[in-house]
Order: sequence, then C-alpha cells, then structure tokens
Amino acid sequence: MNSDITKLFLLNVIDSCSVWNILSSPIIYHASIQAGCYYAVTNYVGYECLYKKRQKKHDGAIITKLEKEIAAKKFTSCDITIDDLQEIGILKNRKNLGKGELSSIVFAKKTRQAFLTDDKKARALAKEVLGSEFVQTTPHLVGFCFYKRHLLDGDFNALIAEHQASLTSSWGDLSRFFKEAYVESLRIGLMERQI
Amino acid sequence: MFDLNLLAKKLTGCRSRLEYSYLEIFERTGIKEDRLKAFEQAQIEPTGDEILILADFFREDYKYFISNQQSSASENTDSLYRQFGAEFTKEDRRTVQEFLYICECEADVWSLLEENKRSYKLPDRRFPINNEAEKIADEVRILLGYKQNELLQNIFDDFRMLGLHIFRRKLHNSNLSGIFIQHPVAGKCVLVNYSEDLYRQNFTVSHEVAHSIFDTNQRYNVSFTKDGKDIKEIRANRFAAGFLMPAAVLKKLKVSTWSEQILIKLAVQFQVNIIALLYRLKFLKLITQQDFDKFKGLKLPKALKEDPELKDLPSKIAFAKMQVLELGLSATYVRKCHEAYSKALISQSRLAEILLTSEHELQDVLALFNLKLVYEF
Repeated sequence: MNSDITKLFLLNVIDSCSVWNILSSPIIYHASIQAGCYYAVTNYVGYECLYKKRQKKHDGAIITKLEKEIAAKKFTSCDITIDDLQEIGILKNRKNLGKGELSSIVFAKKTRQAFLTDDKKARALAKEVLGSEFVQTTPHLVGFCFYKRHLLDGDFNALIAEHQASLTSSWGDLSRFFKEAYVESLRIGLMERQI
Repeated sequence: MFDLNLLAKKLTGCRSRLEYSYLEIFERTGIKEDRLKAFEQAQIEPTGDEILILADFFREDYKYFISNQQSSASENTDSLYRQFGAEFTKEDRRTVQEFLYICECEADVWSLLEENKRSYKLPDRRFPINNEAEKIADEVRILLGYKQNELLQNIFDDFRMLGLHIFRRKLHNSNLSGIFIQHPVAGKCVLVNYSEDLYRQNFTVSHEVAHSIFDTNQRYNVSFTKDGKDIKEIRANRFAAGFLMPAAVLKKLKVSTWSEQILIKLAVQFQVNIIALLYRLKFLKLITQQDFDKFKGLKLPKALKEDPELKDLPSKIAFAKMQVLELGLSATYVRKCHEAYSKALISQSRLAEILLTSEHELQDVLALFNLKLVYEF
C-alpha cells in the first residue's frame, strides 16, 4: 500500500468505477457508512451510472440501488458550472481523463472534499490538482475500515467472495489490493500494540 | 464573457444535424425537454455537467461548447448534408458523427504516443494527366516501403502510416462506398462502408486515399457505388487500381490463355474483386474485350475473402468482434488506444470513451483483442 490507511477523508466525491466497486459490495459499503463516509456524485457521473448504463441493459439491481441511495441522500448529486470547466488545468487534461473524472476532480477541488477513484491516471492528475492527501481509493477505504475495526477479520473472506461474485459483469478484480490493505491494517495494528 | 447565444446556436446545430427530437435527447441523457429548449433559446445557462453530458451525447469535444471556437468538424458536415442530405439516414448521420469523433480521438492518441507519420505530398513536378494517378500510386507504394512486385500486406494499416485516419463503419445506405473528410483538428479522414464486401472495401479505401491526395481543396468527398464520369472519380479509380494492381507486375505476367483459375488466383493475391481486375487488365491492354465479356460474371467465392481481423476465430467471438469492428474499432485503433492507457497517458474512463463503450463493457471489448485492464495502487 502506498497510502496511509490510518487516515481517511470522510467526504468523498466519487467517480463511476468507484461507485460500482463500493456499491457492488454491501460489506464494504455498510462499513464505510458506519465509518461516517459521505459520498457525492456529480451529475455527469450520475448520467454515466444511471442513463448510459441503463441503455446497455446491464445490472438493473445495482442501478436501482444507486437510485435508492441517491434518494436517501447517502449519495448526494452535485453540479459543476461552466466556469469550473473553463479552468485551464482541467481543459488541458480533457483528452487524458474521462469526463466523469474531470467533473469529480473539479467539484472536489471546489468543495475541498477528497476524490475517490480507482484509476491510476485520474489519481495522478487529481494529486496535482488537489494534493495527494485528498485522493483516495477503494482499497484505501477498505484498509481504513479494517484499521478502525468497522470491518473485522472475519469479514475479509466474505468481502473477497462478494467482490469476486460481482465480477460476472467483467469489472476489474481488486481482491489483491483488498488483501494488501487488510494485511497493512494488521501490520499497523500490531505495531501500535507493540508501542 | 461566456456567449450564451453562441452556445445556443451550437446546440441547435448539433441536434438538427443529427435529427434528434428533444424527447429523444431527454430519454438518453436525462436532461428535461424544457431545459433543452431553454438552452437552444439562450434563456438559461446549462450547468457544467449538462455541457459534459451533451458533449458526450453529441460526440463533441466539450471545449467547443464552452469556448468561442466557431466551428467543429461536424459543422463542416452541414454543407455535406445540404448537398447529399437525402443519402444520409438518421443512423448514418450518427455514424458519420461518431466517425469524426474517433478520428479526433485517434489524432489525440497519436499525439500522446508521439507517433511519426510519413505523410505524402504531391510533387511539384506534374505528370501527364492521363497517367498522373498511376505515377502517384507508384510513389505512394515506394514511400510505404513496397518493392515494385511486392504484394500488399494490410492496406488499411499501410494508409494509416501516411497519417490518414481510416475507419470502416457500417452505413445503412448501401449506395455509399466511402467518404473523405478534412477534419479541422484530426486532418484527413476516410470512412469506408463496412457493409460492402472486403475486397470492395480495399478498392474504396484506396479510392478515398486518392481524394485525400489530389482533392485537398475540397472539405469532403462522397463516393457512391456507381460513380459517374466525374474526372476526379476517374482519377481516384485509376489511383486505386494502380496502387492495388501495379502495372509493372501485371505486365510481367505471361498468360497466353486467361482462365477462371488464373483470374481467381490473381484477384486473391491483389485482394480485389474479379471485375476490378478485369477492368485493370483491359485498361493495360492485357486482355481482349472478348475475354473481358467472358469472365465479367465470374465471382470470387466468399470464403476466399475472409476479413483478416476475424480469421480463425471461434464463431461466437468472431460475431462479437464483428459487431465491434462495425463500430469502426479496428485492431490497430484499439491497440493504439490501449497503448496510451498502458503508458498511463489516458485513464480507463477516457479509454472507454474513445472506444465508444462504457467502463463496464470495456474489459469485454479489450478481451476481443487479447488486451486487459491494469490495476495499480
């Protein structure tokens, strides 16, 4: 793990790949809510997750779940402005990142929230724009939940099984990184006990 | 100062060009009809997210909507539709728009990867008009590294080496063979109708490349299956014939009696249809009118014209890949985009955008080309 899992910004602007990585695992999602996490999605990410995805006729259940969470204000919809899009740094990178990532980075910067993404390139640019402490990932979130005991050792295997079961839709397998995050939480826990 | 009237004009242009109703846009974007109308009447300013959504839906660079940039590639197609409007169905207009979009994306990817292209420029010296196309075809073959008697390997990739953006996409109008468009950002772009048979596509792409070389003063050229007697079309056909079937090679053949077997063998080697070969032989005076008439009904068996991108694939995978190819996603384009992603020049989400798919289906699309997503933390 390259990140410090003892710390986590609880207010997150989240892009579409992380939306699905978190929502498709009730274990991760509930632990994060218990930890006090709050998620914001820009309306472009909402369009990607709800409208574009629905046209492909996939995963109706998870789309409904996101709609429910938005209705319950656990995922808050937010908007950026045209002025935000005109920012030079964002315009310059528009050919390197997806539009959802751009809008999320812009909103995170504007509202001083963290940006949660599982994409390497998006993280690299977000670190330049927001500072590395404001850029987080799903494995980092999982590591934090284990460290803070919102997830317990007994949850690990179930979490991996649940995540892998959601891979039927060809989504990326993050199991290895969840394991690294879990091991890191154990290592830090042990170190702290020794001290 | 943001110009709301200019944005309204651009949005109206995008919608009318692609013949969408407000309801259709609402159904596919979630932006309510009354808001869409108000945008087009410059009554309200869209949010940044709405600009991104509309740019995604209309396949435009969002910068076009939020800057004072006066024209985009798609605006250039307005005159094309004014001239040939009836020939382009609503689906074909969308196809042309997506073609222009991926041309721009390909130009971006080439630029990120710092690809060097060997563009061809017409020489200052002029050739006699009757064999100009033939001479230029020889020069292009030499520029691409072919020896005089060497058979072509991958015609589409060869022309891409010249810096041309070449995509094959299925067009509903089967009378349309190909289109050449000068893109203000991407440069010269060629669209070939994927509905045509493979060997016909080879001739079409060579024909369109001729337009990109000779007719650079035009913003576009549309080629139909049956072109008339237009001098530009005749020249493009001569270039295509000369490029695909070099005179020097054909003249070396020692054939005393033409037979079906010989013609089929030659057509497969040159990757052209029998009729194109017969016209070429007749033009070079290597075949009599009598033989031409005798063999003009001869057809190549379809099995001999297998798409190299689908060769030896199990039928299920071949079917899935064919659907992707019909969208214009050639192996070359997909691999270059993936290379940019692997080198962390673009994100996974951007990769999905430029491959005209969603992040959720990205892995399936890449798998057809034996490519994978990479996760690093």
